Amino acid sequence: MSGAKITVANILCEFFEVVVHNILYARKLYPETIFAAKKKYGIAVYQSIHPDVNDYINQSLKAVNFHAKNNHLKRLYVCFHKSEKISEKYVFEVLNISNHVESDPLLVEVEQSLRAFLVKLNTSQNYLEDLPDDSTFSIRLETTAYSRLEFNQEPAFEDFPWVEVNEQDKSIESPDIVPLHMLKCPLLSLQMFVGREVEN
Amino acid sequence: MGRTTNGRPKKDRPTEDEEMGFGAWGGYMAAKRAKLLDQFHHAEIEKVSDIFKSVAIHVNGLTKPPADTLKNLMAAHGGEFHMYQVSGTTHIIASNLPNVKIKHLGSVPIVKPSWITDSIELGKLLDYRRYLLYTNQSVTQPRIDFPVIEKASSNKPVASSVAETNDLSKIVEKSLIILEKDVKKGVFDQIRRGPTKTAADPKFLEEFYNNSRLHLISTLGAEFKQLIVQMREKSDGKFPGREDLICLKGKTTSNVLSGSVIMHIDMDCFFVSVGLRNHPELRGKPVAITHARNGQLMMNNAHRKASREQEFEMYKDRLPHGVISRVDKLDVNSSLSEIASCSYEARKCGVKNGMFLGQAIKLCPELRTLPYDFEGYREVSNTLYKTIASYTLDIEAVSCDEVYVDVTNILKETGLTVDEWATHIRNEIMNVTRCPCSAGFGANRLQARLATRKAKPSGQYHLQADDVEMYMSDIPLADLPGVGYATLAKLGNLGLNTCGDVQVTSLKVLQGMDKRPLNFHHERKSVSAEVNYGIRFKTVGECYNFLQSLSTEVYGRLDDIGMRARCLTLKLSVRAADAPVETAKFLGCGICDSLTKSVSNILVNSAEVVFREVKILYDKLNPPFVDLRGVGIQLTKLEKNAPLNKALTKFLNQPTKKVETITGVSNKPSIEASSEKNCTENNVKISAKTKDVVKSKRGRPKGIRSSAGRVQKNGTNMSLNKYFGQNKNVPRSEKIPSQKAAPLNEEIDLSVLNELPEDLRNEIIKEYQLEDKIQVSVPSTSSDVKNTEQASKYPENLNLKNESETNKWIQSSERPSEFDVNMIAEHFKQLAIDREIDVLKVIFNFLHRTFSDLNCHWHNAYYSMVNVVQQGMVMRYGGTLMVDRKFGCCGM
Repeated sequence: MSGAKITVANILCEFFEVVVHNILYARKLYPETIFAAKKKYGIAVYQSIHPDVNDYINQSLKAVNFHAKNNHLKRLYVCFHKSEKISEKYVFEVLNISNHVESDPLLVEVEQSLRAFLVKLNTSQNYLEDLPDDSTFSIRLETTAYSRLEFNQEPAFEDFPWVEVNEQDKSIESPDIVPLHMLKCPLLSLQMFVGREVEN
Repeated sequence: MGRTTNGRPKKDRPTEDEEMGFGAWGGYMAAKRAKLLDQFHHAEIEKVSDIFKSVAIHVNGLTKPPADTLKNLMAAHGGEFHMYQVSGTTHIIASNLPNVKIKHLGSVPIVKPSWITDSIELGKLLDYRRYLLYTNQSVTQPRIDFPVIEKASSNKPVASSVAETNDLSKIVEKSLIILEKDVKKGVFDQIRRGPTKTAADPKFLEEFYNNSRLHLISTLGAEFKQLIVQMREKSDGKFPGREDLICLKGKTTSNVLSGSVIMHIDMDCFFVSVGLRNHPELRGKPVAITHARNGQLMMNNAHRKASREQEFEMYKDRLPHGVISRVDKLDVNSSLSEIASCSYEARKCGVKNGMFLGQAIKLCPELRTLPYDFEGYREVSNTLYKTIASYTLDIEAVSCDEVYVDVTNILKETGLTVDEWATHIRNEIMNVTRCPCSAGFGANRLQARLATRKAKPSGQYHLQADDVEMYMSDIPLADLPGVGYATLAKLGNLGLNTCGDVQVTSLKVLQGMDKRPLNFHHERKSVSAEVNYGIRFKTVGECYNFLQSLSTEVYGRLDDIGMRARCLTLKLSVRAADAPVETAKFLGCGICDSLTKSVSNILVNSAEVVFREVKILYDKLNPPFVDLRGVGIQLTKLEKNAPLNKALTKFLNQPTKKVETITGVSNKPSIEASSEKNCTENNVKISAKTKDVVKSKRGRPKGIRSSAGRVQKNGTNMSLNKYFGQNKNVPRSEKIPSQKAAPLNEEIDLSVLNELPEDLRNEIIKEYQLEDKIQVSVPSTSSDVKNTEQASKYPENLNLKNESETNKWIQSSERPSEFDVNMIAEHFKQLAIDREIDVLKVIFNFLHRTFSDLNCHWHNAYYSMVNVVQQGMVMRYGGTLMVDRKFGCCGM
């Protein structure tokens, strides 16, 4: 039982890893040269080869795994900041992780869905403006208070502590939402959209 | 240690037995067994016969005759006796074995001890199968049936009318008829209280619980425990009684308290005292509380007598050796009604609580009986608890007539001595309840409780710290709470009968040192309801009905304490195979075998769940329903109900509400009844617009009506298709309503109908069969689910497949009607709430593209749709959907 649970969480983590790298690539936050082309889910994807960036992503994903395997992960944000203010954010809302599914034993369905998800990710470019030069990015998680407490008590995560974001700078005020994709598998339901500042 | 670190392989290590020198004999246990067998063989018992050659028995548990006797018998008759069950054991001798144990015993038959004695008596080895205690075979497996002749029918001279047929089934049938006659006789007995119901009666359960003292005692106890918890939660820290007392007494801090003082209050003969409130003429006379009115039954029926005798015999059989049955001293006509409580005068004659009335009457012929007064008990208990609660909330509720109170604080604040306080509170309780009570005081609750013994009846006693040991030394061990038969027997064997005996052996626990604090917070561990009186089912349907009402009852109790359960147990008492059909006690349970089955890992949060699970368990056990004598449902593994999330509940209730209020309005359906039915399934809205719609409907040509009716019938996503396909030339303002079928999340209120003129209203009600809906809500979730599905398909049709239909809508008029726009917008809003934003984006792109060629009326329609959708978006995502907000000519 717990084996299956961890598997879904692992699938999700792996997918988030690919997604984060590709968002960074797509948004051209870093020079294209720090990315290497790889193949995943049957399509071309890009992966950062910069150790610091990778370290940040990997550490974040450890937390994702921790929360997801207990089914406490609600959302994952990839936020782009322009001088401390979030200019846009990719939101991945985990609607459902179910651990007892027999319909997709080889995970073919999930893989195809994730592939579609990644392809859709690239369409987001059409709705977004180029990032300003001095942008940074951050990964944020939305989880339950309980899971957060548990996480903070785990000594394994001490070297990469998470800080609670206060309500104001958590989000863009009444963002414009660009829907990207909805993934509905028996194993996993995931919705992806981009929130960005309303253009005037 | 060294052994593991020096790397010696594990198997070389000597086993524990080898180390102890038992290796040669194959280990300690084997050595012990061999020695015991050897002793058995060399015992100096003269061999009488070889009856039990090749039989090896093992005695499990208490038997009659006891194991030692059996051992000697076996030795005398050539058998073997094993102290432990080994592979050579051929039979297990037991009188009683729990089911669990039987499973572990394997294939060795378990035989009643009478097999041995009977065999010896007859001088030959009898077939043990006649003496099987239980069979190991499962019920489903076929088994060889040894005909067991019914004692009742064989002993009884067969009546001449039946003798001709000599058919057993006829006899059974006849006895059933007799039973029914008896039931009627019972009715005669019970005229004063109305007929006694059997469980087949739907009102039975209610009556049963209204007349059950045990039920009352247990529920009241639980209620007060709950009440104390609640009062503690709500308490504002003020105790009016205590304050009054301080005023009355004035502050004198004369006495110095050392340690805490616990008070134990116990009402004297609670049931009797309460009964006597209404019967002052009986004060000072021996009084007993019981259901029956006199000690003798009017039993002229020979058959019933016979079965009664048989049952008494069986009771004796079933009891372990040496125990005297309660029914022993009864003759066949004595009442089997139990005495719940009796006065001190009656106790002097030897009457005890729990005695059968028949026996009690013999001991004390002038004994007067009083009926139960359940309302009175409740009232007096309530008053008792309220009175005490006005002084303190440090109360531990024990039962309806017994309570522990920590009075340390009261004494400190008021400065009263223990005796003064006791007199005060006892007087007050006497005044408000008109029932006497006794109070015992001590440093802990054990001392308090034991002090109450001395206080009784109607007195008070303070067990001072210095006197504790002296006082305790005279108390028989049997009076200590937690000392049961088993412990008592062990202590008795050691020669310990009173606490004094134990004190000498310096067991500190028994010297009145009970450090447990009072338990103010009480949480229920289980909830159950069990009925073993009056269970006589004639059909399986009656049985299910009863299970249903018992389920409701037990769930009601669960709900009362605000818990839910994870585990459910069904207990059935089934008439023992050889017990008479008719029980000695009128409608009682007689001698029964009990069956239990549990299911866990469920969530019991409604009576339906209870019944569903109970039914499954019942079907699994599948006992013969005519032999059912008792049914019990127990819920365990309780957990607190999660606090209700109001928003969530509202959300969950929404679907049903929607269905309740949905009505078909826009179209007159075609004449077939089926279409009318379907029509009600569609989500159509009665809103403030109803009037207009209805009016327009009235003016509509007949042809459109019928086609529109068809549209509705075919479900929503088809409506645009049909509509546009067939009615191109009809002005659109009238037709559009037919396509609305999207689920609208607005609250739809049938009270709108009241606003309409009467004739219109009646027409609508009649046409759309609203009568039912107005009175009864018809929960039909399936139709709602269908609608949601349709809704999610709808936009795809609109955009991908049915673009041309949309185009037709656009072309049909210069400007869109406000109604259509609202309706579509509401639908889109629902999509946003349902997280279908991918679809929404495509829709709005398409609409924007299409509308950009049109005039500003359409643009405004677009903007208003966007506005409505954004409401849904903000509700769900806290942000707006990114859509084009501008046309070439105008902006939002």
